[in-house]
Amino acid sequence: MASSTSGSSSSSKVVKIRSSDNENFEVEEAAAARSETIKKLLEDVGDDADVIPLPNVDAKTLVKVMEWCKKHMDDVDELNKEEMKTWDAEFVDMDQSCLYNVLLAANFLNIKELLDQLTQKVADMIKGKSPEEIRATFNIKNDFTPEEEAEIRKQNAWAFE
Amino acid sequence: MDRSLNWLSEPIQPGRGSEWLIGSAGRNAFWGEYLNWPGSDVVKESRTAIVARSFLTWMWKVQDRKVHSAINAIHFPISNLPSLGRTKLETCPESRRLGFPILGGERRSQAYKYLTITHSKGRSAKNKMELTMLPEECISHIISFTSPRDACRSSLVCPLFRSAVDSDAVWGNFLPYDHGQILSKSGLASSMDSISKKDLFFHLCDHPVVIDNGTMSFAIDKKSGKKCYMIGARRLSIAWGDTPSYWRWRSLPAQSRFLEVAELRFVWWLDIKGRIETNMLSPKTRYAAYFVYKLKERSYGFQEKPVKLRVYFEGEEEHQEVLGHVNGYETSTTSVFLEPPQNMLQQFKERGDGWMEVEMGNSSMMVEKKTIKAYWCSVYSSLITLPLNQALLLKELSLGLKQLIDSNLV
Repeated sequence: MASSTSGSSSSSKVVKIRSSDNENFEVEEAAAARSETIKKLLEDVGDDADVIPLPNVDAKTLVKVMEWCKKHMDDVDELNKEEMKTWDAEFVDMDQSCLYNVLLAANFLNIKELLDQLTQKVADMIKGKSPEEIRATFNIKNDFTPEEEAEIRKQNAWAFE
Repeated sequence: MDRSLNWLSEPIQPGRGSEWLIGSAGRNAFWGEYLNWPGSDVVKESRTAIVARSFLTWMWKVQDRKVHSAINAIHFPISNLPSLGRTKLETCPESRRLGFPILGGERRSQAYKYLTITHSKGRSAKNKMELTMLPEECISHIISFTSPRDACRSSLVCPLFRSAVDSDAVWGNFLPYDHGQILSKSGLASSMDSISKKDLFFHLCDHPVVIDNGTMSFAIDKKSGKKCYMIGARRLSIAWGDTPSYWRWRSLPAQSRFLEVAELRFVWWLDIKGRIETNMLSPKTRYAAYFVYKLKERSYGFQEKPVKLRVYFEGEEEHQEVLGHVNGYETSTTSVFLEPPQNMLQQFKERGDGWMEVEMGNSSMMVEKKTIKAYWCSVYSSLITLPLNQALLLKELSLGLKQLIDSNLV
């Protein structure tokens, strides 16, 4: 897991990005531009761009994000759709800590499709669960007093039927 | 409980501390459920063992030895661990998968997760990111991907969730995307912007809004947020409906949400049809249609003759048969006594608002890009459409349109 330089087409343009922990990456421009944030930065600085710093994303997370961007660089035709779906499902199958880091990065980098995939993944972990199960799943502490809890339960009684 | 687990007692990768691979849980085709591991499981440490619970079926294969076990909990004895240091449970990093294939032997061959117990010397889990560390807008975004019901349950999880659930981002997503356009035709339009999306959502669940000059009402289904409509009598096509000796048009503001209701006086041939464009309905949603009616005290005829109720898509072959001769459409046609004869089970349901409702046809209709049209050749009807929410829960169908027709078949 170091710099992920382009493997396929040698003619494509490469941009440099830097993670919060000062690791530099070279990525094909078409892949990096999946991020609206990077795309806009590139437009702003033009060809003079040296290295684009991404102070909110660490190297480990950036590797994941760029892995996704590379895969989603080109338009998907009908034939590859199924394959891509499988790939995406596997991609979002990561441990929770990693999942939230990548989600946060996708939010910051403004990669809507990736953000939606990760959001869906977390949403699926919530669906159909009771509040107790949700707390257990995400390791959340219940900060409500019993009175508050009873009140909220009452307000949302229909959802617990 | 099955304790006969085959532990890999040898620590793997001793370089990073000590690590035990204790199994895999993944997409289990038999259960059809994805186990988020360790997320969905309770993991705790006791003085003697690490306990991991909620495992369903595990299958894995170590080299060519297949292990298959169904267990409720596993105990990993602490005596297996070095005595000093910190222990953490986590899923196995991606890279480890390749070197150590674990096979489920089922349809889905990817997406396995391994649980590892890592023992590192005195180092705490670094940069461990938790869901609750995400900004509230992200939590709202996540909750907006669930359902109204899940959202309301989530508000009980913790104060952060509760606050995230209340945001407009969540309920704006649950509301039908064109609700603004629909409500612009109603009396609610002016007050719409001044209330939160959540309040608007629940208002529309409990208070159907009359639109289109009092001929239709619009509501949303609380559990799914899908659109429901009720078509009033004026918007139905009723054979001989404008002939005063057969049908009478009345205004019953205390009993009906619609401006006018149709009262049946006498008829030889009952034929009522309702039609609704599918693009008005929520996409990719199963709908059922209901006929809503009320019988007058001295009604006559419905005990002797059942009515046929049917739902079909426009363009599909129409039947022009006389009453009682509908063939070949058993799957979509039901025959119902609106007033059941004695000793017969009643097929309608009281709605609690003084009206009866009966489901039309046996099959719900998946809304695609065609036009749905409800049709019945029989005594009478109104059309109600309801989202069936894809599946099982017929009892979730509760709202819809109601149409008022009094019957007085003398």
